[in-house]
Amino acid sequence: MSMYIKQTISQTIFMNTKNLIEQLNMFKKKAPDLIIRKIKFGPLKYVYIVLFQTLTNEDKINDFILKYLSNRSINDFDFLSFKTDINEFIPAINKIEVNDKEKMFFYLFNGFTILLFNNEALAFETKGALDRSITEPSSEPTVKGPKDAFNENINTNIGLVRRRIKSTNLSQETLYIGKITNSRVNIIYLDNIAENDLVLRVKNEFSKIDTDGILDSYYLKEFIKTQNKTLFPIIKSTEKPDEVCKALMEGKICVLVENSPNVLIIPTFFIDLFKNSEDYYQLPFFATFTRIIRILAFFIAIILPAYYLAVTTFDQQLLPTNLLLNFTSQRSGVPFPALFEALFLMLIFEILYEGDSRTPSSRGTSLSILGALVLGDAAVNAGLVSPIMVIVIAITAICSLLFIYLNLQAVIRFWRYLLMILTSFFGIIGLAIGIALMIANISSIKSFGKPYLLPFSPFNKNGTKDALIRTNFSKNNFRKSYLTKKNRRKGRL
Amino acid sequence: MKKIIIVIIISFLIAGCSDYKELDEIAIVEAMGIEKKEDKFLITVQIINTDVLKKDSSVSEAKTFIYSDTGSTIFEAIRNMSNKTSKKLFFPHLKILIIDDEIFPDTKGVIDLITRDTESMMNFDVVTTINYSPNEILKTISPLVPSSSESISKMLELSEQNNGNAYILKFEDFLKDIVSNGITPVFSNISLNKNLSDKNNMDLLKNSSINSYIEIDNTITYKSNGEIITLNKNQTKGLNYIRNKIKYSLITLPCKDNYYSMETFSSSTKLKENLKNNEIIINVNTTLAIGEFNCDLNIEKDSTLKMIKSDSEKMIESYINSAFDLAKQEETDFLGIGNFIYKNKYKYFDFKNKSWDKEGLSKINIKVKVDANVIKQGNLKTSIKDNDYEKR
Repeated sequence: MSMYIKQTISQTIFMNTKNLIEQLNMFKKKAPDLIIRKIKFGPLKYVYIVLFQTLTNEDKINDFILKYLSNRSINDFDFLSFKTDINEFIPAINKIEVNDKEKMFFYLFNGFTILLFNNEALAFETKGALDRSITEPSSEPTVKGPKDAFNENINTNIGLVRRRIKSTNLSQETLYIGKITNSRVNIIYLDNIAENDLVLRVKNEFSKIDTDGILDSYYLKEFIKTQNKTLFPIIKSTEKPDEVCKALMEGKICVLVENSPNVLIIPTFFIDLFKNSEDYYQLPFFATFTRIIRILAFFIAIILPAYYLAVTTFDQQLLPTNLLLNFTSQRSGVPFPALFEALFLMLIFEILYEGDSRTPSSRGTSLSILGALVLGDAAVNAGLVSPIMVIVIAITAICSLLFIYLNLQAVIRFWRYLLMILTSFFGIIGLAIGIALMIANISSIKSFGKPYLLPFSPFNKNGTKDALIRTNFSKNNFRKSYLTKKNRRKGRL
Repeated sequence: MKKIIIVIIISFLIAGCSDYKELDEIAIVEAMGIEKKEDKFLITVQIINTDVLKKDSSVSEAKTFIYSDTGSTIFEAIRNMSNKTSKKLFFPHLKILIIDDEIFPDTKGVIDLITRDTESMMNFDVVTTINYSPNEILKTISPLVPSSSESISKMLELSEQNNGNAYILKFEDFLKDIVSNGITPVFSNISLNKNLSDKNNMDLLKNSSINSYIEIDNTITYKSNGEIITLNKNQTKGLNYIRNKIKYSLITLPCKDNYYSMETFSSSTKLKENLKNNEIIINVNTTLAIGEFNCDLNIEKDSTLKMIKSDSEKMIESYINSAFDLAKQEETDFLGIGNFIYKNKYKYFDFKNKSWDKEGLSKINIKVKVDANVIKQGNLKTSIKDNDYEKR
């Protein structure tokens, strides 16, 4: 099909109706859902309507186009008056004049109906409802706060944002990426807050992308070229319009991709991974508390199994005597070294986790029962693993499940295994080396030219008001200076 | 990049897994006893039986195991023990080190081994035993706690904190006292109240009146020639007052024909020097409450309270004085007065070339100032009188 479009582009730019219909008829051999109707007016005059049955809504075509054509029996039919007549009488809002073939195909693929006559073409929007309705966010469940989520329709998504930000400053830049999919990508930002450099940079990065197709916004993440050698996500994606609006108001840039409910937020800092839009719908004290819990959980999920290995296989003197006695009595009779025990349980957990997220919910119950039996009781009774190891791995797993961003989970996994291997060779020193490496890695990252550890390193006093500790809105009057330099005071624009 | 990978691989090959030991390969030593036997060291270790902690162990196993072996050095004796134990002895969780009387005053070997060892933690208690051997003491089964070593460390803690008449010597302090000028370490003496009809088995714990148990005897210290100096309970209290280790303590005082007890709530001691007059001033600041009052006196009266205050002050003063007198008499500065002078005015005495114990201590006098503050009288205003009973 791409070959065909390329051919048509290379051919004449003039819209010769006869030529066009010939080409379309050739194309129809490959695409039976293409409908070409010839409607006769008078003895020698024809109008063609071209559309994709699969993309359009037949009712709309019947109601607005065919009805009009059959009702208007223009006696002294001439195409000049015909055009003005259409303009005046066809009750379609979205009507576009098309004057090259490439455009014509583009509109066809987007669910428009093309009216061809006398070397001219008009496109009417007759899109069929191929979209999901607006539902609750499935990957980021909310308790308080708005419960609408983005869906696959980019216009709906932009509408959800515009409904919240009623400002003339909300600007959109449109790009089309992908030679095959030709997907629409919208970069949205508030032009009176967001830094121009950042907008330009993002646009440049995206327009450089040269690929076959973009099926989801996650594709874009991988094309962003950075100096960073890290797994930490420098772009956060979300399903929630309120979170996007919050980011826009801070001076960040959001990227929407056609057919993707995930909207990218640029730039993302380390602390942003622990924030949630729901933090702003409750008292600052509780928000702070939950943020600290999240950060603790992040470090527990990375460090705990490695630390357990270090204190039970190398540095037993670090434990209180009674705890050591407990561990020892539980370990006796387990035939494997502690590392294999940990890796075995971890493997089972990873399989369970993957299985649980891929299986349909009807089979989820049996999976969880089996998992609980195997992981919990049977493995311990069979003497394969020690109960304390089950507890350690379970705590680790629970802590890592706190994070809904898949990329962050991947990071946690990577560092967890790395630390486990280091400690199983070098004990507590290996753990210290591993943590030092991780901290070095985090602090070396730049997210679109800005240090990843902002606002802590380099320290930014204004930024810390909504970082680890969320202060009251009334006390946090200025926008973050590392995100925007213009219109810093909130509420004065 | 290639170099980095090579360095990483080499570091794994060279340093990886050194020190690796699984939990089921180690035997946790809770107590160690050192004694001399025919010119050789006899080492006794008490190992915790971890299987007892298992839920499903229905058999009543012993909670600890005792192993002992001899060697020309302590280290050799410990290594010799591996012929008997199936697991590697693990010392960092040592709680009690019992040094036999015969080892003193030459404790070089003990200190050297433990300080040189990279694994050992130096926060265990050091005690000594005169009449019994460490082996005997460790073998004794004690009620209430799983092992004899735990019972010793708990007992020491309790009697130092609640009574002030025992002295806890941690190994690090022991080391410090040995190497510092003008101070001699003080040990608690552990002894056995032994009824020979009892055997060292679990039958002991089947009887509620326990006839054979470990107890903390007097506090002792050693002269440089190995002679033992024994401190009685009051002198130990005096020692604890001078070393500022008293928190909760008890003072029992006479009144007419009966006694009453005062409880110390807090106490702080500060030493000051007045070396122009060869004098050390000891300031004790303490808070007291009446614990038990059996006297026929009215506590509401000011004069009674004043009497209680001055009597308590005199009593504390007498504790301190008796401890100091003993130190002077035996020419051994176990109180650390020489150390205080060395730290604050080292020019006063030539610690390097002269013996402080013999030449310096005798010139020093102490002046004790006690400030007791009676804060509580309890719920009773007076003591219960005899006619209260007659009324019934």
